[in-house]
Amino acid sequence: MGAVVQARTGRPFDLSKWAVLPALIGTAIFFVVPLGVMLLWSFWQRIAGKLDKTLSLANYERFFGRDYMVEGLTNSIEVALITTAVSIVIAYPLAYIIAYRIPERWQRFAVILAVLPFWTSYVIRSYSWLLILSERGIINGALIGLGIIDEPLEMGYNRGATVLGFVHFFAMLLTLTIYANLVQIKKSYRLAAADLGASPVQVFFRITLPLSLPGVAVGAFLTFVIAIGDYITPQILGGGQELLLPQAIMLQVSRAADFPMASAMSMTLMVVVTVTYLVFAKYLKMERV
Amino acid sequence: MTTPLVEIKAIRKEYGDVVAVAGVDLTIDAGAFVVLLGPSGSGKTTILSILGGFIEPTAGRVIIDGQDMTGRPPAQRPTATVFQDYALFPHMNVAANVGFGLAMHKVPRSERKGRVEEALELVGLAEFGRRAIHQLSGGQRQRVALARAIVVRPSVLLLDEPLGALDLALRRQMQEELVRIQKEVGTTFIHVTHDQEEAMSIADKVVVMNHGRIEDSGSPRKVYLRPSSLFAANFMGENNLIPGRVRSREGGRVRVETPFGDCLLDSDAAPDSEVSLMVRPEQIVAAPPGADDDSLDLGRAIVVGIVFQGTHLKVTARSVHDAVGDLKLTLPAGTRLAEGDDISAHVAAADIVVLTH
Amino acid sequence: MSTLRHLPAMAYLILAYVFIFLPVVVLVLFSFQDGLLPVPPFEGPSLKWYARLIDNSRLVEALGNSVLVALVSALTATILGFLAAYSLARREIFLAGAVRYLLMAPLTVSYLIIGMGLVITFSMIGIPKSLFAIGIGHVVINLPLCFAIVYSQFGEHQRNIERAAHDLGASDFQALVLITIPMLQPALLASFCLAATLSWDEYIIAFLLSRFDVTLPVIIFEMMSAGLNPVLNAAGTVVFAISIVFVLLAMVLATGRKRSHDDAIG
Repeated sequence: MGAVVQARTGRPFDLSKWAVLPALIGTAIFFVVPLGVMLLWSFWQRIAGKLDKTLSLANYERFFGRDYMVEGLTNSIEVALITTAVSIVIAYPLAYIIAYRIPERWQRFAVILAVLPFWTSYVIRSYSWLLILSERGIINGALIGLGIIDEPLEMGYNRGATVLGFVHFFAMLLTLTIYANLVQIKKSYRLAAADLGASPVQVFFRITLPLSLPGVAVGAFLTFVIAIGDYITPQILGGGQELLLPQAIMLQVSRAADFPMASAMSMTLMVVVTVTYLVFAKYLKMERV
Repeated sequence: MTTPLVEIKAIRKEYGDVVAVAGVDLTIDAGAFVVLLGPSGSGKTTILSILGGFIEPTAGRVIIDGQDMTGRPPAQRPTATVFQDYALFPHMNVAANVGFGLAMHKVPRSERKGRVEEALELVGLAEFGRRAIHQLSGGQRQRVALARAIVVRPSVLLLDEPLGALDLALRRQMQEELVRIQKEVGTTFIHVTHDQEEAMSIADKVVVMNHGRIEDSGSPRKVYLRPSSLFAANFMGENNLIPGRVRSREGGRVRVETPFGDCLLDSDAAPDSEVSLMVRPEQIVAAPPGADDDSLDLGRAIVVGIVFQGTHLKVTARSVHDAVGDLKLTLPAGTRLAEGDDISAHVAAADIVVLTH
Repeated sequence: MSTLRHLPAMAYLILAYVFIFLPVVVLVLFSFQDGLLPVPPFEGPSLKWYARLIDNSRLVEALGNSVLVALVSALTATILGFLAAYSLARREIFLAGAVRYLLMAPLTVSYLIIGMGLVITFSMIGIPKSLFAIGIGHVVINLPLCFAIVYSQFGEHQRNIERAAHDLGASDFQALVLITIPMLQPALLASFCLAATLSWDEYIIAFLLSRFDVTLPVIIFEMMSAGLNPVLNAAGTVVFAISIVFVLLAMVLATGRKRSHDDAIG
């Protein structure tokens, strides 16, 4: 069929074949090259305000040698893992209820409603949590007003607050991915299972849950990867109690202008992300309609 | 007289203003292969779903094996369903799918294995246990769905247009398989379809439905040759409808006036009522009636169309009687006939069915 | 009686929605605060903080910059993403799998790292920190999404319709402009609006790549380090409102256009 069409239109040069080039070139120049440059810079050092271009592993040695730096990495991984787990626990029931307990006409509305605050600015949203959690914020105000406590609780400015801020964002994302998956599972599978004697609990654990795992996996992957590389939320809500890797990297950039060191730390972060990707790879295929 | 296995009593299903099933009574004997036949919207699938427990009726009762099942969920009924899209669990292999119902009924693992193999052998998929669902063809998936439902030994097996997605040759083959399997396990099968040929191929009893009501029921032979209603007559196959009027009753029979003349037929139609006389195309003989035949002489007609259908010719002939229009005949494939030919036709009185309006 | 069975589910639903909307409600509520701090007790309502917002020329300028960068970078990302999706879906491309992987890769890299890479690279090749630089950064992060959204719509159904157009005599270009693009309108609009919203909100790349002309999130973050301030609430509310309008517009356009398009044809 294609050959016939070609003959009829008689195109001498297939422009559309090259249409992918702008995007490809753009990605190559502005994404791949910078990463390569960073990789290179990670082997250089900043000494006494100047760029020393001798190749060495000094930055990496410094990173893994300093406790507080490595802690930044482990803290980041911990926070990202906790965030992912808690977000899944909160989002799955929500997605399930919307997909299976809400009448179909209202489902779209329910999902949009659940995702609406997604569109507040990321920065603003973390700030809003500060309003709620701070010493003079809503929760303290309510607790003191009700006489439950006398002194305001320090709820903001710690890891818990960071996780809360993260979970608020990622629960919405996960609700979306899990819902999209749940709604795709054919109703006849669950009917068939019930017909063969499965109780509602058995239908969930044997049919619905296994078939919803791809949606969970995609959401979990995005959550972990985005959370671990995020600077804003821990910076606003973390209160400097512990340093997460992105914050440590920004310190190198803004205080010390030590781009080589920052590059080395960034490369380390990328390795973690790549490993995560490999773990999730089989769930992340691109599908066409 | 044994009690029937399934009794559907005054079942009614309404969706707001729409009446899907309008008061249906039906009994089904154990071991029968029953086919619910009708166009879409006739209510046949709704009845099947009500039997399976997936839909609750607005009114009426369902009794299976002497027990009132109305209101019981599917898991607690002695029914198993073969769904139209098979509904095979994509994340389990064939053996796990077939064994699922047994696992739900807490059949011990050792016994499960044997019964799964037995069921797979029954449907002709003996070595397929370890295959993944996506590796199977349409016909193979259909058999797995069947095996999965049969293995739990239900009292009634419900089949929801299971052969719809298969091509013609495969469908014919599966129809034979279904009959064979049903005879072998002896389970009562209730099968829904809109294909009257399929219904006649497999059913012990055909139930013709339309607009939520039963139009006719009986053996395939009875429903085809002696339909009870105009709808059933039309749905079961091509036919010729000759307009007539009942002149009088004579004994158990009626004298009917037609454009072709009078004839005496079996019917309990009232005098002076308008009726249609139904004749199947293959029942018209393309020759003038013999002197002793008890038949209706259809007179002369001119051939206006011949379609070769492989095993037979579909012939359309325009009757000289205007009131009758075109006659449809089915003649042997080798008949020497051409458009424009003049033919005479008649039909045996015993073949004519009187349908009241 | 069946409503009682649903009670736990409904309760969870309500609790979840409260959790999700709490920050937004607090934000918007206290932007109308009459007192000095955006915390209880609530005094007001008052529009004075919005007035302060408008007075703050830096903020207004930053808002304008954000809009500019968002629209231009979203447009670029959508066009590039469409072209890439078109050629990958409809033609035999050398190493198509690798190309797809490459185009999607930026999704998994932290914005911080992308931003840093660009800072270093731009300083080496002499592109100054500016709105232009920020725009490039935003195209990099949004291109994968635009590509993915449009690519997912190039299915078999789409292909058959294009074949029909060719069959009736349309050239490649005609089929593209008269059939493909109109049919993909919902996807194109969706990816444009998504890219615009993500760019509009984006902080870290904007921070790293800006010097004098800043975008709104950068200024907001700056103000935030000074403490809680109702002006921030007002700014945040405005940002939220604009984003919502954008999203709703996208949805209406995406579904509405499709209907009128079908009417025009049939």
